[in-house]
Amino acid sequence: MTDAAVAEVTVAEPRDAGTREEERSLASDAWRALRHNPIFWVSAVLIAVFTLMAIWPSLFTNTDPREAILAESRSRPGDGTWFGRDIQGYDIYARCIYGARASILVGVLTTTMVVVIGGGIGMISGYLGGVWDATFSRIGDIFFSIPLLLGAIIFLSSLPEFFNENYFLVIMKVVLALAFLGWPSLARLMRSSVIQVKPNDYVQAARALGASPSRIIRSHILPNSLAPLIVVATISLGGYIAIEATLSFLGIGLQPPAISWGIDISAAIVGLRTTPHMLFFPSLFLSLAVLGFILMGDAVRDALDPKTR
Amino acid sequence: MGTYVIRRLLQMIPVILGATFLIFTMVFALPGDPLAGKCGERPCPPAYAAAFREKYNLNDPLPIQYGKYVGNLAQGDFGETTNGIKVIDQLKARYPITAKLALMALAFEAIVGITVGVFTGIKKGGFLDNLVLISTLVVISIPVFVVGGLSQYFLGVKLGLFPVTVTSANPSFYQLMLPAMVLGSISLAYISRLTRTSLVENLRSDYVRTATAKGLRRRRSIGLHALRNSLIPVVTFIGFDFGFLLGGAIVTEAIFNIPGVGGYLFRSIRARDGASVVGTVTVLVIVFLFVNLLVDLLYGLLDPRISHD
Repeated sequence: MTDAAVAEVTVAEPRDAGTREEERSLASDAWRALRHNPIFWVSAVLIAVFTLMAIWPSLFTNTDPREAILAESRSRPGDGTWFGRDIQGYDIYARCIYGARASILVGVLTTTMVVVIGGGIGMISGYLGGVWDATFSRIGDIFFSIPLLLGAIIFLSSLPEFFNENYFLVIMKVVLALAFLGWPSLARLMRSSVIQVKPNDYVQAARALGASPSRIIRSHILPNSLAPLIVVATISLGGYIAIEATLSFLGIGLQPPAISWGIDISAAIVGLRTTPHMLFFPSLFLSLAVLGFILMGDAVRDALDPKTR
Repeated sequence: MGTYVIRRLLQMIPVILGATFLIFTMVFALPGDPLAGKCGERPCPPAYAAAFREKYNLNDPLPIQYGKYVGNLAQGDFGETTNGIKVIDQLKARYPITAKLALMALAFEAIVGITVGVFTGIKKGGFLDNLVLISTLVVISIPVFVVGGLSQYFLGVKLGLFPVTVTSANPSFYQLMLPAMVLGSISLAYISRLTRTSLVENLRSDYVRTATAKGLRRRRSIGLHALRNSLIPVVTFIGFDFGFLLGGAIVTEAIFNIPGVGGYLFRSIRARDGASVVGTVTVLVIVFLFVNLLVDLLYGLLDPRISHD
């Protein structure tokens, strides 16, 4: 998924200091465009709702997602519960609400790690060039050549038991697996946009004025090369949520005491013919969450790219 | 051209070595003892255990084990599983099936995706364009295992259009049709969007205007001039997607019961069967790298401005 985003994104033009008439930065321009884009607001609402769900699930439901009422197992939606009950007699609505936490946590933490690692390495190889660039690019190639899902499965299987001790560690296990294999695509992206920004006059001027490398990076290169990274990171966040669910579906990611849409979908797919509602609702939540982040990334890209305005 | 190919082939060697080493290390770290349960309810006799450890190089440290493995690999020997089954035989039996599935998925997504992309790109902003934009977003946000389950139920069970599962060890074209469409569905959405975006951009370019101005028919100016150049990001995506397809095959093969490499790999990881995992992934990585080399060579064909001399 990230690959698609990398291929699709066009690097935002670094802003040209000479032709500015009024004080309008790229960010304020982008915000102006975003405000008038209905897709942005739809995605913002989706993301806000899911984030709220992840932080305070009790705002949305009073039911305990682990309260199994076996007598009502596999009851249809409307038979006392909104979304019906699954095979264990769990309330599917409550499960869907509580499932948001795992997905959002995995998505946000993975994206943060990937942005920090990939962005940092991309910055180093783009800015320093030479041996650093060659080394990091070749290491990136190695990681890049292993398909994400496949590598994650092997990585997760090879982690020690220690990671199954508590909820946070189980989440971290999935995050580590995805970040371990996911950073090269962002590193490549960051590298190419740094290389585009670096020869600009304002960077040369800053260097001529005696600015230190850290200052050049912080106040000149970073702000002007960050846009594509943010776009792709947002889109990949949706992708990571989908991969988390896929791993849980395969029985490798999160394990049953944890609540995750992927686990519920995996359990429901057996009863596809008789109880499709068990599959439908977790899938709907999962798809909406993924959709929210993809739409957000799309909207931000359109806002940052002057060509599509 | 020749030197370019040779240089690229040489560059592949460290990537292959690095990727296999990475996988080897992770498999090495897989918890569990291959001797456990080997001799039934009792521990293995010491003599057998010693011979077993000697045969599979279990006493050596990781780098030496890896060195021995690569040495054998270079001679075409993929080693044996701990059950004494030759990995190469398994790969020979299973890779053709997965290759068939992946190629069918690739053909499906490329043909349908590019066609849809062209039709929407020509009439940007029209009804069809908006319909496709929305429906591709929906497809992208639904994970492949949900698409698989749903299409298996509706197209296979309810409507009876396709076989529900694959029942033979040598599946026919018809049996693989639905799994291939499921596998290619997400990429199909990406390809159609990518073709559309890229075509829209190229339709505004000077050479298309020239082509129209000199009296070429619309079909020819779009098909020959605009589309050919628009295909570069699409072809890049298809190259990367090949790795994604092989990873996604794990899920698709599990759902449709296809005896390909994905299911084999998954079972091998769960069974802690190191030789099979490393062997399968090695072949996969090599295929992935060659496909991407092919993609880079295709650039020159698609866009005469790019040359590899």
